[in-house]
Amino acid sequence: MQRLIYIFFLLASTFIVCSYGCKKNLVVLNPPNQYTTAGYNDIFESFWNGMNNNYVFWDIDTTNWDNMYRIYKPLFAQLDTARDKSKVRDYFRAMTSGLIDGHYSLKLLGSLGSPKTTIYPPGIQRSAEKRHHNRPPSLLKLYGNISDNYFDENTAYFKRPYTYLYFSNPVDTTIFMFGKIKNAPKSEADNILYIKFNRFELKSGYGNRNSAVIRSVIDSFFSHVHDASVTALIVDLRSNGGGSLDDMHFLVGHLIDQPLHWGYSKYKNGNGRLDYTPWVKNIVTPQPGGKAFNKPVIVLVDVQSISMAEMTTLALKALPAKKTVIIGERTWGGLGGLTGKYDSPNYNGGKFTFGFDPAYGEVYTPSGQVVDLDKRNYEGKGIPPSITVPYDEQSWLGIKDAPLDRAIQYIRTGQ
Amino acid sequence: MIKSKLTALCTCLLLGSHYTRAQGIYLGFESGVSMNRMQTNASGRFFTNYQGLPGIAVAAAVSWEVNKWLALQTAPTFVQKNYKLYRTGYFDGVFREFHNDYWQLPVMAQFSFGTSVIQGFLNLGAYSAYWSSAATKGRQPVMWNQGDRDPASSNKIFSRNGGQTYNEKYEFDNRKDNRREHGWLAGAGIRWMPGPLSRIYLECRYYDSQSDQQKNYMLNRVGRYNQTICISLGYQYRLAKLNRLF
Repeated sequence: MQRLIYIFFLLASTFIVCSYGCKKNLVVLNPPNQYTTAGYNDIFESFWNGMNNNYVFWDIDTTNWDNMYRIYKPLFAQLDTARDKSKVRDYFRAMTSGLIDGHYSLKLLGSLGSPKTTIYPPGIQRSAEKRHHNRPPSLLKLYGNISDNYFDENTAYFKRPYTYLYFSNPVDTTIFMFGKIKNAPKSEADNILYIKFNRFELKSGYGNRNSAVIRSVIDSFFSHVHDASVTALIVDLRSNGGGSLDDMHFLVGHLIDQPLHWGYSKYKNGNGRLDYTPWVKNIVTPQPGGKAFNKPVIVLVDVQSISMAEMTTLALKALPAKKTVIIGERTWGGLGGLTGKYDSPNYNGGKFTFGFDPAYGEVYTPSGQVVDLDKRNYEGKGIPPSITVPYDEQSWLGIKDAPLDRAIQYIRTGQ
Repeated sequence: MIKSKLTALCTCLLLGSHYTRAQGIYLGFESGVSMNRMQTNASGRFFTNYQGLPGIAVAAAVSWEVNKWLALQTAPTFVQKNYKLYRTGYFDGVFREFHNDYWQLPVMAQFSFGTSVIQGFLNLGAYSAYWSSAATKGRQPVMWNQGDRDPASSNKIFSRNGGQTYNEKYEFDNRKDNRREHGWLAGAGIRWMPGPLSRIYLECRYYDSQSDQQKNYMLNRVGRYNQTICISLGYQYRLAKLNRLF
């Protein structure tokens, strides 16, 4: 018996030594905004770790982030605190050059951000440099072209054939316009409703205390869209830079009478780069007064249709009538969902600052990924149109609008 | 009819034959409950905690008694190593459960002591396991979904962003998930021997994984290690013919 006890304790000691002797990898992670301002090494570590744990596209992004660590950590360590600010910018630019996030920007702050520096991945820069994006015509002129040339001025539908609506809420000017497309000469009368706005701030504008006019115009649109005589709806999301996610319910929620499943989203779920929640359903909730819109819907998009404009395109495409057609160009490819500045902990990822009072920089990046009903991911690629109508600068600046013409043709001919 | 036959069989197995003990090979089964804990570090995540969850453990046990006090045992086991990740405070209600099925092969030395009827025993050994399948369920706020109108969720995240529940098969990610596991085990139990051919036992066994549940796919990876306690009730029968070999 005594021998048994000796042997057991010998083995038990071996077990305990082996259990605790084997090194378990339980790294303690420091939030990126809690690093000291001790130098470039901390700047690098805080940024690299912030991206490592908060960027939501690691499962589809081809950037080798570990390689960035191996390459740039020694380079940052060699920098001199006083002199090498421009190299820091170059290094950050190189590290982020392959990111696919369509919203991504890295804004350098404090002494690093002087002169003011915001870094965008080259993919985004390339898109932004395309054609009209560098020199947009006046939005009013653009909207005026459409209303002057396409809207029916003789309809009794509205007091005026079109409505411009400005409101500054919260920060940017929003222009909202809707009207009835002129009937084709010598053909059967139809009633195509057209709506265009430059950003998704409709609900906030509608809820503004001083928004009686805004409310009446938007209410007017919602009532007219359900008029029995309306034959089709054109939603023009070209050059719409996105905005508030609440507008998904506010706008699309008026076109349905049942919850609309339009896609899926997923979020970070842990510290690992590939720790994600499963795909969960994105649902639009019907709004009071909402009715099923069972007629054709044409969504006009271009490469400047970004974020909420792209998500709304997916939602309209998912309408149960299955009569939605997307016309124009491939969209921007920034479908990730953004939270407020301090809300990224809600979703375990997204925007973050790095460094500690003063921060070194601020990363603008989504907290969730979005895919369509078939789980196709358009991040960094954009949503392809059903019917491609290439950008035509003369159309854009002049009186004819080729994508809009094509939309009207499709509605009237079914082709 | 079947019930009475089973009763007769069990009676024979338990009380059958001679009351003499001999070394030999025992074959049997054991089943019970498991409680798994995920050993990791959630320090980088706000208001996030891990919690162990119960599961089941079923095994076939084979034991070779080398002498009166030492035996070698193995027990091919199906065991669930479940755990939960949940958030607190404002995020109350956000959770994710992982229900992980493992096939496990422990090999252990068993040290016995006591009388010919009641014995205590201690196990020490190692195991290797394979993560065969998994399911996950939980509730997640969705930033596109409208918040709950339920007053119970006011001032919580679900009042702002509607939640989606899910309950589905977990799809392994070959880049991340390490489906092979190995580690150490230790156990203690008590057994009752109603006859020389059979024995019934109750055992508590602890498995400590030494392998990360994730592959080495990223720098600054925070490891995840299963730590599992199984409490099982078992029955073993001595194979008489094989006994003559020893």
